Amino acid sequence: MIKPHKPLLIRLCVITVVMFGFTFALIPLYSVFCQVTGLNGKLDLTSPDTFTRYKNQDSTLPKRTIVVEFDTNRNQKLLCEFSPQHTALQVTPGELTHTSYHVKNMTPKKMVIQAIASISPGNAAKYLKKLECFCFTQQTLQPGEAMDLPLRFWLEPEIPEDIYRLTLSYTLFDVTAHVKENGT
Amino acid sequence: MSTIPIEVQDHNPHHSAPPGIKRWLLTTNHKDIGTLYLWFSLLMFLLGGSMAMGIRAELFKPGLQFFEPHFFNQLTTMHGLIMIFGAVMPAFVGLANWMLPIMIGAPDMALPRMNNWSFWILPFAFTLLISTLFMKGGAPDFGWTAYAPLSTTYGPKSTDFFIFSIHLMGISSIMGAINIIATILNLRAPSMTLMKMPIFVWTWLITAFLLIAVMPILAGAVTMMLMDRNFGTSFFNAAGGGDPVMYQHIFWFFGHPEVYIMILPSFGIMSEIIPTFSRKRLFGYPSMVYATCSIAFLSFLVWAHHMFTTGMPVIGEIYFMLATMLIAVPTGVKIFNWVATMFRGSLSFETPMLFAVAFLIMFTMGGFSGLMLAIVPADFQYHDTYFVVAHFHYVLVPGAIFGIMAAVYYWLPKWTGHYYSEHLSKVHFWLSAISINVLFFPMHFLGLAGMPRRIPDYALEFADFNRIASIGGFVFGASQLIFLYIIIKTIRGGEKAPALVWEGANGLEWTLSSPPPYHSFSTPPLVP
Repeated sequence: MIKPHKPLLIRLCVITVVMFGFTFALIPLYSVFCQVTGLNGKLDLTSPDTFTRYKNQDSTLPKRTIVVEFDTNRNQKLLCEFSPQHTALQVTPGELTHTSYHVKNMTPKKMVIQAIASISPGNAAKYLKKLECFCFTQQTLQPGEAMDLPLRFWLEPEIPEDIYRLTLSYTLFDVTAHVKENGT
Repeated sequence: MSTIPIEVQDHNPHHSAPPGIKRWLLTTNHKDIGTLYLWFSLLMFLLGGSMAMGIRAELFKPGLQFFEPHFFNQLTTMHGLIMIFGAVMPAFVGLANWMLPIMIGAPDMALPRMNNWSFWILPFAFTLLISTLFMKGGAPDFGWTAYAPLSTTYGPKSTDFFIFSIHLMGISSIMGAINIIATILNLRAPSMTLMKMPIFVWTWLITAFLLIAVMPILAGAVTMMLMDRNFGTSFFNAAGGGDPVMYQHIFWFFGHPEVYIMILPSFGIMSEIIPTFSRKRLFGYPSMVYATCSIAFLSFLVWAHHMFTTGMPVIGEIYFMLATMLIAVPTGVKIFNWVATMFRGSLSFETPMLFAVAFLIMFTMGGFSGLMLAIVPADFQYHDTYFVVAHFHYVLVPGAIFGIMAAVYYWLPKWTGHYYSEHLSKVHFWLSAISINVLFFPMHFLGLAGMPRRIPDYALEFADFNRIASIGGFVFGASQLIFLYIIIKTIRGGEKAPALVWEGANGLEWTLSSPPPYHSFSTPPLVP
């Protein structure tokens, strides 16, 4: 008369386990979603192989310039100097631009730093390509050491016309503890 | 729906309760476990409430009176966690344990031993959580939402205890939910078809599915937090390639269905009480069922309306705004059905009905302030202000809590066999209903004027409304002691209640004596 509970219980437990796993699957799904749509201004941290469109070959696109502002932040009151060489530049889409950042370790200890980039407005993220960026790698700074960090990038000519000003922001993180833990 | 009264079954002596404390420790009886859940939640309600009294005392006037800011943050965090996971959710599970089997004609819950286990996890979980208050470095101080990096990089040492207590609560809720689904789907009396089930059973079935879908997500989120804190991962740490905003996405993907977990059973309770005291059938039974299902479905699609100010793209904001507003439609269907049930009914206003009517009015107000918060440009002003505090307290206190109180008054004569004191309970109702508006209504104005939430001190211009709110808070807090007194008094004695406690009531639970026998419906009853 009474229905067996087991098949139902197995199904309910499977839902529970799948949902727990789904939480962890959300992490890569979120990254993929943001990369495809470019929704949250996250920049690709890997270097592109070549800069194929150094010269703007496509003459149908009108020439224009976009103001790129360079913004720097230090996370958690990091004892470091960190400033851009230029606070803003006029950039022509399709042309390679070179700038650099100044960083100095103000502590008496060795420090490993990692810069994370973010761009605003977010939908400009997929049109900004970096040929060389200090954010691709971690930097080790000896006590008191200063360094100039290069950045070479271009804006793809297809960048939407309503974007005439964008901000490239770098936040500097101290990853010394992480590097020690992982032994790399 | 009318029901055929059935004989009280004489019970097997082997299954009678062992004496003393062992009865409660070892019980597998759904009525005993329901009672345990309800007492536990009342205890947590009073504990979380006394923390709220501390918060309101601190905010009575500007400046720091009683607590330093760090301890104030711990109070708001613990108040939220205790009220949500300790008071509201266990109270609903307790009501489910007591009522579901006797509403659907089942002899007990489907998995009685697991039922015992899922209750007895809770005291351990909350001992773990509350013990953090006495630890070096203090209790969690980042709000019940536990946003990264507040909880990962900056969290106190006790955060790990908080994480494990959340794990335990999650396990308890999931087991409870599985038990409820199995009971409803497998143990209904043969003639009790799904569309004949009382709405309270329906809302609990849907709530239980929400629970098994989202409690694992909360467990996953706090597990990642644990790994970020202790095992060097970077789920929510930008330096290692993670994203702190990701935490908010995961948390609210749990959190939004969670708010419906806390309100759907209340909807079910209203759908039992309003027809009884209107002496009419519930208006639009099928639309109630479908509305509940669509609310549950939509609750998975709106989570980011809690995060409008995180820098979401405009297209995302527009989507989440519209999807959120869509929820007002099925909720409106429910409110309409309750009002239509009362329309031209033969109304009487016993205490459960008073709470139900107060629920209808004040929950609707909370719903409307929710719609205001859903409007993106408006939310940029309201975000993290007291307007939000006013909104969710309006849906949770006159919504969830009044629902629970209405249910307690409605079924207390059934549980104890005694009528409560109608005079005292009306004093309790009117004090609560008036003081709650004195307490929470001024918070709307405070929020619109720009007072941020979760602060121990505030600018002078907010002083008057805060004082009014605090006075309302103290009255509301004190009137809950009347509630406690009424419950104890009713258990100890009072006017004898017959099987049919309320003459307008329908349903299988009213065919059993008051109090019902320890073992009921050993043979399934007939439902016409």
